[in-house]
This record gives sequence, structure tokens and C-alpha cells, in this order.
Amino acid sequence: MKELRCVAKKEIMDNIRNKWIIFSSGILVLLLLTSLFLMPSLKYCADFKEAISQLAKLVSPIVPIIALILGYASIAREIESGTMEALVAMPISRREIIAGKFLGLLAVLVISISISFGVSAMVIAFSRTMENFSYFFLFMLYTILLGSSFLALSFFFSSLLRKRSSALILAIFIWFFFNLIMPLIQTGLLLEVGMKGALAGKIPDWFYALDFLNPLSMYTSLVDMLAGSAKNLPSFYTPYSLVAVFLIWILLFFLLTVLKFERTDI
Amino acid sequence: MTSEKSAISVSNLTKRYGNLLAVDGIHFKVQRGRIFGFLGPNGAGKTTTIKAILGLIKVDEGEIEINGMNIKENGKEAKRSIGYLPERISFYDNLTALQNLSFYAELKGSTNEECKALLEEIGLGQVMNKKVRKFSRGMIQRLGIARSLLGDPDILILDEPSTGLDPEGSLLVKEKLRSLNGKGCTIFLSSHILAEVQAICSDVIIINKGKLVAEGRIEDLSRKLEIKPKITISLDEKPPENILNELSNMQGIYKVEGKGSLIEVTCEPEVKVDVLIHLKKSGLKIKDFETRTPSLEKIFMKCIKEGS
Ligand SMILES: Nc1ncnc2c1ncn2[C@@H]1O[C@H](COP(=O)(O)OP(=O)(O)OP(=O)(O)O)[C@@H](O)[C@H]1O
Ligand SMILES: [Mg+2]
Repeated sequence: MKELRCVAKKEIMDNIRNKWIIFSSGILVLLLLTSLFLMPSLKYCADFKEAISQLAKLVSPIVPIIALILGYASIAREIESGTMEALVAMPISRREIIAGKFLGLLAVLVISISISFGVSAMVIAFSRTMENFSYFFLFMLYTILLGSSFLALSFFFSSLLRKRSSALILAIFIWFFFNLIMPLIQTGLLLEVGMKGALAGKIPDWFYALDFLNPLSMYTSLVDMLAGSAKNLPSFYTPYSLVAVFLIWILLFFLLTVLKFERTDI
Repeated sequence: MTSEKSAISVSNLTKRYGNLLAVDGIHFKVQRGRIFGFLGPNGAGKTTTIKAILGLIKVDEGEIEINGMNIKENGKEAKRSIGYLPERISFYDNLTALQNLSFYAELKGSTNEECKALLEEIGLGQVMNKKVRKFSRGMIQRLGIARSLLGDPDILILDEPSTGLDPEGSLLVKEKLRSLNGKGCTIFLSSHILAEVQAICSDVIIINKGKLVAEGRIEDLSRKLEIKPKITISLDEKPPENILNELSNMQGIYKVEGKGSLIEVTCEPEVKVDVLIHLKKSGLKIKDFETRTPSLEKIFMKCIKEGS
């Protein structure tokens, strides 16, 4: 336990001042604020409940980037540079190393999202009246879930590679895959196979189940549910099930990383 | 388990990298309290063996015990007593020397004060708050040595400890190793600098192409390989023939050569003194003498040639 905390602490120290993390968190704040103050549909909107669906569209590409920056090379980099060798030679189990690193990165992610959202919330609170601030808080929690799932994913991929350069290419691919390719596949499938149901005004259940494979779709759905704009959903598709699937995602990729790392030659 | 269990025991260690057999069924034991030199040509499998001892790589076959604890089953506990200097030393570039060392110290259960003292001792006192990114090769090597000494390890495993060190640094390390060994620390070091190994190690293990080719105390190996010590005695006059003949007939003497007022005698280590006594008794004046122990280089070359 002491070992785990020690690794997590080092990971936080090593990453918290990462200029890319600061930069992308800044972008996040900028996006949240400019849209709330400049976008016509949001400028006069007085209720967070109505605003968050649109805000989520802006947040959803950025947060995975923060998570990918944190995770993509976190293991590969240490193996490549040689610091992993010294670490594994210390009296610490490999499981503790992985758990400590993951918790440390998770902490940095949570800190950076919370600060971005916190700053935005404060600016809003001082400059205009908005109702339903609690929705903003839930929105932030969902965003943290989104970030964590991408962190777990990139953390796992970083354990498969030994070189930072290949890890970077893989991270870019992951971003494209979930942001662009998956949605295309989903829509394509719906058009191909589910057309009849869709035409009849009811999207088939399996189409919703596909969402469980993409954290970004889950995130959009969660936010839509929060905003009250999601209709005619199958019974298995609730905020609870979505949050549970998020947690399964995070846990699954974390465990896969542990399994992989225990078998890796350093 | 007995009370005289070895510090490190390696049995039938085998490691393949694809088709390459990097380590091929190696057995050896490192007794407590000794200094072992681990030798072999480039690519012999030294680093691979060392990594296996620390559980850094999965081995294909074989068992490794540290103080009687199996490294696979009880790795965390076993590693508590080991200080390790990797072949490729690296630190977290963004953190200072002290921050780096404190991180490892916490894992080893030692204090920040100990870190500072070690940094002073190893000659990095002035730069302990500098980021490691700005360190030179030798400074990183020194920091690596400091890291390996954290928490007073009973076993030190060093993979080429003097690479990149200046003469002062390597002297410092040599003295530190001797003094630690004096306090009972077992040392296992790989090195290509045979003179250094000869100066500090009591035992050597030599491997070649993944196979063990020799193991034992340096004197025992030289005896076994019939590499004899030589003494050169300088007298104040040319010695008479009969004395040279008497010497040649003594037990344990292989070769006697007279070169003017010098005599060169190749003999067993134990009879070196007898040679001197005999000359003294024969009424000759010994001006000076020099004994040369067989060089580790000779042992090494002979083992490597015979092995292949
Ligand atoms: N990660 C690896 N992947 C593939 N082959 C490897 C790997 N590490 C080492 N080898 C091979 O295993 C053999 C033994 O290498 P090792 O590093 O143990 O040698 P060494 O005795 O330490 O050599 P040196 O004196 O140069 O340090 C070499 O042929 C090397 O090419
Ligand atoms: Mg080596």
C-alpha cells in the first residue's frame, strides 16, 4: 500500500506540470466559456440543463486527448528510457507499480478536468445567471468517466509497446477510431441492417447495445439523458447501466494492463 | 534451508530471445560475504543473467533464489535485500537528483537524510537539486550507484559499475565496495575491466555464449588452469649454476631461469617464500624481489578459448 502511494505520488509530480496537459485543459476552459458567451443558442440560455448537450459536443473530442496524452506512453516511455528497470528492481510488485501509476494518472486527469470545469463554473457564476448548477456538476462527473475510460484504454496500449514513437501513432489512431470511424460504422450498420426499424420510427435495441463499445457514444447518451432529450430508449439503456459499463471499461483495461505487464520482459 | 544458504543461487537458468539462446542452463552460487566478478565477452549473457536474478525478465527454465527466497514466488521480499545498478542507468529527467533518490528511498524504506548523505558521499552534494536532465554521463552513473546503495543492501548487484566514471569516481566506488564488503555485504559485479575485478574480487564466474565456463576463487582457477605465479629476484651478483639447479629440483617449482643477476622462478604460490629462504640460506644477498600473481586476463582468455 505504501509502495502504491509512493508510485502514484511520483506519477502525479511527473505529470502535473506536463505542458500539453495544461495546454489542453486551457483549451477546454476556452471552449466552455466562448460557447456559453458567444454561441447564439447558448448565449441567452438560462438553464444548464439545456446547455449541456451542446457543451458535451465540444468537450467530447478534447477530454479524450487529455487522457491519451497522459496515458499513451506512460508504460512504454519508462521501459524505453530504462526507469522501469530500476523500478521493477525495487521491493515492489508489478501489480503495485501498475496500480500506482494508473491512480496517479487518474488523479492528474481528475484534477485537470475539475480545474477546467471549476474555473468555467466560477466565471459563469460571476457573470450571468444560470440555473441548475447541479447539472453542471453531474456533467463534470460524466466527463471524468469519459476521460478515465480513455485513460484506461491508452494505458493498456502503452503496455503493449516498447517505444514512445509507436505509442504516439497508436494514440492518434485510437482517437480517430472512436471519434470518427466507430460512429461511421454504427451509422453504416444502422442504415444497412436496421433500416426497417429505423424507418418505422424505432431504432433497434442492438444499435443501442453497440454504444457500449464506444465511450464517446455512452457519454453523449448520458448527457442527453441528463438534458432530458433522449427518448424511446430500451430498458437496459439507463444512466445506471451506462455508468456501470463505463466502470467496467475502466476496470477491464486496467486489469488487462496488469496481466500484460506481469508478463513483460523489462 | 540451512544457515549457510547462498546469497544468490542460480540453477539451470535458460533464457531464449526468439531463436537466440542468450543463457544456456547456467548454474552457480554466490556465497555470502564474498565479492564475485561476473565476466564474459560482449553478448555472453551477463546482463541477461543479472536481469533474471532480479526477476526483470521471465526465464524459460531454471530457478533463482536470493537468500533462500525464490524470486518468482517471493520477489518483493527478496528484492528488499538487493541493491541494483543496471547496465543502462536512467532516472526521471524532470525531477532533481534528490527527488529521484527520495522516491526510491521511500520504496526501500530509507530516509531523506540517508539520500542526502549518500549524494554527498558519492560526490553529488553540490548538484542534488539540479534536474537529472542536465547531468553528465558520469554524474548519472554516480547517482545510479547512490541508488543501489539505498537502504543498506546485503547484496549488491552491479552491472558494469565503473563505465563512464572518472578515475576518482572509480576509486571511490572501489573503496566503497571494499568497505561494504567488510561489513558483510555480498557483491556481485559484472565488468570488463579485469584489473579492477582482480583488485577487488575474491571469486569469479566466467560465462561465454550463454554457458558457464569457469567458476571459483581466482587462485584456485589459476592453479587449475596451470597459470603459475612468477617471482623475479634480483641479487647483487650472478648466482652460481648449482644454486639454480637446487631450486629447480625443489617441490612445486616449474621453471628457473637465470638472467644475469636476476632469477625468474615459476612456481606454486605456496613455495614462493621457500625460494627466498633457500637463496638466503645459500648465502646470497637479495636486493629486491617482485611476485606476479597470474593475471585474470590470462585466466579469462584461456577459459574463453577452451570454452569455444
Ligand atoms: N531484449 C533482447 N531481445 C533480443 N535479444 C537480446 C535482448 N537482450 C539481449 N539479447 C541478446 O542476448 C545475448 C546476451 O546479451 P547480454 O546483454 O546478456 O550480454 P552481456 O554479456 O551483458 O554483454 P555486454 O558485455 O556487451 O554487456 C546477446 O546476443 C544479445 O544480443
Ligand atoms: Mg551487459
